[in-house]
Amino acid sequence: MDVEVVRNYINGRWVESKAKETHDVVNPATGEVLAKTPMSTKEEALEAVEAAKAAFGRWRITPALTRVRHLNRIRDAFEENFEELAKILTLEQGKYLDEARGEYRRTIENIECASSIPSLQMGYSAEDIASGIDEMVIKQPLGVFFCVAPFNFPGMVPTWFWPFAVGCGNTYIVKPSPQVPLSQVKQFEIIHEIGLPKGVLNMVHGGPEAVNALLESPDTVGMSFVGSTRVGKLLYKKAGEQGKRAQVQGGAKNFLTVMPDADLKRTVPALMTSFFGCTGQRCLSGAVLLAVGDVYEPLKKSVIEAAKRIIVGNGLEEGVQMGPLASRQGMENVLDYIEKGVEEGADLLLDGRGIEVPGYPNGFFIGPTIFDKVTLKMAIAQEEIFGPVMSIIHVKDLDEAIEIIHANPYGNASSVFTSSGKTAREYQYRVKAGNIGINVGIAAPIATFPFSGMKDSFFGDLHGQGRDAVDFFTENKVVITRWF
Amino acid sequence: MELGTLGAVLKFALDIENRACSFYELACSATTNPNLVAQFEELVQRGQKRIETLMRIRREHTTEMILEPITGLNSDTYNPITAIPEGGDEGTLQLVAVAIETELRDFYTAAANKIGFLSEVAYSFEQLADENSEAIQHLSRGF
Repeated sequence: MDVEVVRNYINGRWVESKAKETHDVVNPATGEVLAKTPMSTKEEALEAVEAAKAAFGRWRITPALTRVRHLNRIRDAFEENFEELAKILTLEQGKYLDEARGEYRRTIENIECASSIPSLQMGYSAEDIASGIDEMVIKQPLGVFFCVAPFNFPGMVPTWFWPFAVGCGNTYIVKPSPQVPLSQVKQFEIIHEIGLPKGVLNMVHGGPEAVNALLESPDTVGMSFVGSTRVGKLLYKKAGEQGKRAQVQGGAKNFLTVMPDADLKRTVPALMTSFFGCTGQRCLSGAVLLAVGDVYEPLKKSVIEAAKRIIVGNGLEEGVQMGPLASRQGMENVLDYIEKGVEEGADLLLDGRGIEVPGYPNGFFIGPTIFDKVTLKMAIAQEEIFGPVMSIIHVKDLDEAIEIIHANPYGNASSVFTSSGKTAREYQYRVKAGNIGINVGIAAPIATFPFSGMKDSFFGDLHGQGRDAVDFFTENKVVITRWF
Repeated sequence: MELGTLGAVLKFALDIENRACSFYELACSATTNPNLVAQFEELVQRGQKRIETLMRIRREHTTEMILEPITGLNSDTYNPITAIPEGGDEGTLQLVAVAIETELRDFYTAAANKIGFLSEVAYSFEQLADENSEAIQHLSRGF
């Protein structure tokens, strides 16, 4: 059966790509091919840049309140199409429906936050900085920005960026993950119906050729990237060489510390969400559980019991609590890591391999997996697995826990579970991670706060979302005036 | 069936609300008592609002960060009978209505307790349960 090749959206029109190469979009619960993504050519990417550049002049002089009126209409339309958007997301990515709904809630919240841009973009001024001289800062848009989006949050991540960019008066190009383009296609269909001025928001599918064209074009001014640290570093370096703004969100290895005084009844459900939510494919997912002192035995027993109860299946079925991995490749990577863990001598307490989901023999399923007696030298303790695997390390105290956390190159997120305010404060003060959770397993900043990250998890200075996003997408101009 | 996710809880809630609405719609034409017809009509309108509320909860309160598994809530425990009793008189219709409202109230009360980690959802469920309690009182006045 022929499947559709998704189209680019350039200058307010749907455009078929001339690319010869395509990437299959696969339903990870069934293995069925849903569509194909074109690996757009350099020329097609530059066509989008041209359209965005041409639109910039008129868009930037559009009053901010008018600009955000467009955002408000998009927000309303996303609400109206909420369930359909969530279902498409589950269909192509695999996460279960509540997770898809949660992702779309955050998507909408980003647009809502960006609708405050008429206030957020206001500069500041002072009278009489010298006798009879006033000074002010104006926050001006810069031009054409673009993002390279990941496969794990295909609905939400582009909205960390484009609503803020567009709201501030820039024009934009979204480059979705070729693995999961359908969520963005649906969003752009909705946006097209609403009638955002042509060229203001564009979408180009593809891979490295399209990304390089966008980055190397003299007509783009900045880039936002979410993906692997390896690729992110390359792009960040290239952006620097080109003199462009860049914010690069990379990989993660998140450590969750459970203190002996933690409330286990409340902690364990939060750990389940952290380690196994989104099938462990969040950049904020828990990866290593640091059990401090006496909590080790009861915690281990509780997490195994809770993990065994998680219902794995097709995310479209209400009641399923964990969907498949997003791709066959992703599943194989996780299986390799589980094998490595066994080979390196970790104690496999719960094995999610070979799980059978009735009715879905071709799905990319792995059940919750728990390793104990993990040591720092093991690959499962050091590297990002991006799957439903928990590695337990027994530590003697908070100092040892923090030492282990700091030995890892990543610094995206870390959480502590404790009933002590002193311990919590010490954790947030000392731990080098961009997003800290105190009795929260997924420390995900909401739209009004920056989505942070440190060390090898983030390159740049201004993050996505919130006021950081407004600063990233504007340039401060200082005006000093004296009237004779 | 175990209701282990917020989505499953809301799907079940929508299902029983729809069934209750259908019962009250049919009950309107199964009796000629004007007071009872007015009561049932009011419950149909109330039901439609509640369905909208549940759909809004699903859109607005599915907080991705704290989607913790729900345990100990089973749909088999709450299965209101929503068929119009054959040859039933007004009293029987009222009794069935009270039984439906009681099942709904008990379900929302239990669900609110299980979903404490999503406080807005728990609050909304408590409000729905309060509405059921009011309806029970109202319907019982006729006995």
